[in-house]
Amino acid sequence: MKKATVFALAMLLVAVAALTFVSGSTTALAQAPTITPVPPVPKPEGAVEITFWYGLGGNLGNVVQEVVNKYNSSQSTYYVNAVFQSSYDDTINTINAGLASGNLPNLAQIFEAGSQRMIDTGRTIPVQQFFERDGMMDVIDDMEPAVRANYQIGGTLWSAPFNSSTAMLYIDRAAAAAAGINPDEPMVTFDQVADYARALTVKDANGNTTRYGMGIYGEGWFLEQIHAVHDAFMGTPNNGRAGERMTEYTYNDAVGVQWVEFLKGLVDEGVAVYYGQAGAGQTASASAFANGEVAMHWASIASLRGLLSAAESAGKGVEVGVLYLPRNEGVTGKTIVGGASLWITDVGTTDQQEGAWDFIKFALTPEIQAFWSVNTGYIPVRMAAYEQAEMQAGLEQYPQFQVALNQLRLTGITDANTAHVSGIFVPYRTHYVAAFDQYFTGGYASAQEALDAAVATSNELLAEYNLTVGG
Amino acid sequence: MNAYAGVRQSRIPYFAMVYGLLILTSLILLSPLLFSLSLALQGPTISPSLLPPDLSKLDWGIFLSVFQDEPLIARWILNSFVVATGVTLGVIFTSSLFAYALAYFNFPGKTLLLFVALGSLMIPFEATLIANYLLIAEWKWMNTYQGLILPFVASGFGIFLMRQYFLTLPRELYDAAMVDGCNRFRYLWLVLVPLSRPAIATLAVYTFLNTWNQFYWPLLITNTNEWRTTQVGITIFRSFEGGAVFNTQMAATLIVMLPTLLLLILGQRQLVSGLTSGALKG
Repeated sequence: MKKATVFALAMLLVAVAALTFVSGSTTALAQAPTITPVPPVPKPEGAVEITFWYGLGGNLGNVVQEVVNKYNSSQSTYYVNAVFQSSYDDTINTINAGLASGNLPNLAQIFEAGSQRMIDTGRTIPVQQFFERDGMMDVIDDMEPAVRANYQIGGTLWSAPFNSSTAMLYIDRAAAAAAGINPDEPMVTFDQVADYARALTVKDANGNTTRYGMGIYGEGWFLEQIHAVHDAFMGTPNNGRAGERMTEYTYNDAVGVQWVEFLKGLVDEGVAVYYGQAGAGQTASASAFANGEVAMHWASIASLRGLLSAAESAGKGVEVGVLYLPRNEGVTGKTIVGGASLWITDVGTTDQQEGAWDFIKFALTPEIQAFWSVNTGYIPVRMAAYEQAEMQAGLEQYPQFQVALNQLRLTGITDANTAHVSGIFVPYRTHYVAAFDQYFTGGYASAQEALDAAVATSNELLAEYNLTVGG
Repeated sequence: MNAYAGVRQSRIPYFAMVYGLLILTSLILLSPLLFSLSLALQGPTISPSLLPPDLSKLDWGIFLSVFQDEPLIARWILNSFVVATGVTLGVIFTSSLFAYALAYFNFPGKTLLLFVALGSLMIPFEATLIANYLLIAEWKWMNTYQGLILPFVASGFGIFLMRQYFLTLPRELYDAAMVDGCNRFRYLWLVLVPLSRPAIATLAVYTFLNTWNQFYWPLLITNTNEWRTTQVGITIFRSFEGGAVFNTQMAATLIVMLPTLLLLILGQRQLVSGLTSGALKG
């Protein structure tokens, strides 16, 4: 036993030593991420340190670090220390835990699901104050309207938009052309998409389906998108945007029921396949789309590059195209953006708050916005970014991106076609997706029943949350 | 001679079946690991297959590129190792002391103390999370090993396990030692602890693995990249929106699992004997 323990410890030490050694080597590898991670630049002597928490991992996280590096080497007054917080969820959880002790970052990247929560912490400074003080309202005016509207709550721009995307219906253009569908006409109705799904479904001689028309998974974001397209509220009053806190979810309305029934109908008809809840279901559907096993797939425009490269490496001849989200006849509504924004907190010194603001100014320059968009697939916050050569080249390379922008600009902004704000955003999505999943697996008799149950739970939680924050 | 050979022959199908079943079960049990390895070697793709489609193009370099992408991973492994070892030693020390008192001495409030220790098993860690966090933050122990280790060095499970094991050892041993002039502390460290190796090994492996796999506490209590532990650190390899690319994630996961796997393989015999002895005699 003693020998075994000593041996085990020795092995572990050897393993750690070996790993440490390996980490020092510099073998070049045939990997091609768009941005290779760059170690943070060293902090200059006497610079004010700004702590910045962010929640994007993988390649997107590398681009965040690269933007921070660009900022840090562009000046020496401030130094942004970017700390990855594992995910959007964990970022806001860590902030919640740190509230009592004041262990908060100076700057945080928070997904829009956390907007209401951030306001309710009472520890944030609306960025609008800084824009006004520095006479930079022209920058706000130059923002993509749908993006700006998302973070303007009760008439105030609380946080600086950073990464934004919108939802699309992806379609295999090659399969569409073969089925006599024109994928260049992005505006589609529910009936049309149902027809597409039927036409794109392929059966072999034995009657087995070899390709389904559409892949489906449970995801709250699309429910919100469909409400926006039809200019319908997710909750009252006014999606929680008009200065009054949201008190009730209403997504069990006609729009919500129609949406869920539409998807379930396609599955029942055998022209679509249900892959499960968001996360695993999304990955499965994306993978099936890239492999030509389903011809339509729901995803964010930020997924474009991933799907393009997956389709290419799968080699099944899938050509990635995009359509607007489907709607009822005659409806021309826009979609909403999802993503995250940058929040300045009131912790630390005024110098640090100024530094956080200085970084935001830098991140919102057209040059950085173009760099950010081209390397991530997110929509630029600033309209001026489109004048950058880098951005124009990007648009030329990815014409699908322009379709997404057009969809986002279909109509003017209303509270109904902008994302709702609520303190229980994440739990609401969990409950909706669970009810959706139960309906698809036979747990509920009708979409109405499933949505009624999800809304009831959501409203209980919402009432409880509103009570705790004194709303 | 002939008869002997005959017996051997007739046993061959039996052995073949046993080994076949064992290999099959091992493959099933190992499938998550093998699948991770398969995903890691397939190159960046969002639609991986169960097995690498082209065995001649296995991307072994992925393990190196994990270290290139994130050189801090060696530091994270070191952090996890120090923390898990520290917690393990702490738990063994406190559990032995507490269990010794409970098993060998009579004093007022003994039963109450036992129930307090057991009761602590019923309080989920999340319930005390904020209180622990505030205390550690107040002591300015964020981003330190002591902040990562201290909240876990006492364990109700450890106390209970050690107490049960101590009770199985003959009381006469204690009396004999006392007669021979051994004092109570010497008895604990020189007789009881060496005799309790199976229980201690079980507790050690269990505690080490649990601590190694911690996520939320290290996430809260560290907020610089250097002080992260493996489980928090490797989430940086997870891709978002559209790029659900698995190869680096899986390679990083396998790298941080390696030390725990080694521990489990090497400590397996102790672990099994420790668990069964606790189960039968406890």
